[in-house]
Amino acid sequence: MFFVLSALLAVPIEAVRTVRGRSSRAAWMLVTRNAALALVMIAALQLFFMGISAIVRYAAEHGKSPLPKTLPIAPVLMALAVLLTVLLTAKALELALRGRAALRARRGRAVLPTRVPSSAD
Amino acid sequence: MAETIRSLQGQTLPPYDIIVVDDCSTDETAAVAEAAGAWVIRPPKNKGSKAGAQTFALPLVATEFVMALDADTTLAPDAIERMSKAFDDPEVAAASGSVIPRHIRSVWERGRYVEYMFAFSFYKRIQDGYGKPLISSGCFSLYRTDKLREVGGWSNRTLAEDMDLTWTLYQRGSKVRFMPDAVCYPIEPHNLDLMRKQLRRWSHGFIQNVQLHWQGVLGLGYLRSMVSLALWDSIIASIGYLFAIPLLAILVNVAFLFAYVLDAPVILIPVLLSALPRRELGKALASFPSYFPLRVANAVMMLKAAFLELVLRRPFRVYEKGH
Repeated sequence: MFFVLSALLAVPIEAVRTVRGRSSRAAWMLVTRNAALALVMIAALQLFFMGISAIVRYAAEHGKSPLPKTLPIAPVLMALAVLLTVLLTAKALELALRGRAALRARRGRAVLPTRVPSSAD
Repeated sequence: MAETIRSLQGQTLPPYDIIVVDDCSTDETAAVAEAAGAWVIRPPKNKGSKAGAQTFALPLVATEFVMALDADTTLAPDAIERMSKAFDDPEVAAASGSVIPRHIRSVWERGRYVEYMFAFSFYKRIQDGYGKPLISSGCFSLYRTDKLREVGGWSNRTLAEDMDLTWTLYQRGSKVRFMPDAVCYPIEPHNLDLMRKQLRRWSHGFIQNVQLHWQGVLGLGYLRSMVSLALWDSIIASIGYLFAIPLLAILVNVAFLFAYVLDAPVILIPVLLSALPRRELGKALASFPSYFPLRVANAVMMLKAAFLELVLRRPFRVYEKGH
């Protein structure tokens, strides 16, 4: 879901970059390709779910299926909520770490390494 | 090995030198490589890992760019030329390409074929669009030599030296690119035992890299998102996949088993679209079911690695090459 959303979100991001004069034809081709693929994937998921649901309904004795006709929205929203929770938690952790670093820097101590350790260290 | 060297010699943009590190092998590696025309070097004792062997050769590199290539990986004839285009941007320090298993016969090779086709035709391109490919694959990557030397080469402090190097380069302000048209063909594990070894190395390597780099990664927006979600996937999603879904199917409704294949069309679409120009539609369709056992194996190994590394604090350090 993250990469599907990333592919779709890239379109407005590229539009902003275009307005700022920082885009290119190659970038738009990549963004369009990825966004189109993401849309096809969503459509395929919906069709798949409808197909499975119809088969189950047909097989069920009284035409009742344990599955809804289309992709249920509740699990999708739940997945989206989980996705946002994980991303926001990571962002909060970053902000907390930055805040702590700033606080310690004011007290004259560095909490974050001033450079990235390398294998030569 | 001979095939690998021949594929390098046959490039449209051939390398200046081919250095083979014979890491104290007991077979005919050195003789085969020398006969094929490579420059063979041998450390005084086994370096213990691929990272150690590659870094041993780094001081001998006299060119602006250096490429790392596994002994069992051959290249498409134009792979280097296509990959080198990434370095038109002077800020790019590393680039990797698409990976397609050379042999696609067993369940595990087929599962890996689907996994790679999905990754390299879909989400690796998105990662590149955001300027943050998660990893510059160790089996075939091209580097700017001075940037590589600055970080001390490939480190053996984790079992995933390629991920370690990629994340280190990001934190130092360098760019990494994914070039989808540069294709390599490694030999993938063909049975469960070899696959288990590879997945163990990769899953422990990922957790070790998260432990090593988490502070640095937090400051790199899109990479932070990918790593946090990958960590979530490796632990919570694996628990759901291996335990919650079967339990719900048993205790509540058997329809919960449907969750195992719910994302099948999402994976199948990019796989088929990338198989089409390669004229591999039949192969892709026949291989598709094999993706699911591989996903179970992935979930098991990832969960085990997270438990050992994070809970029991027992890091896995032995570098085991599959074959």
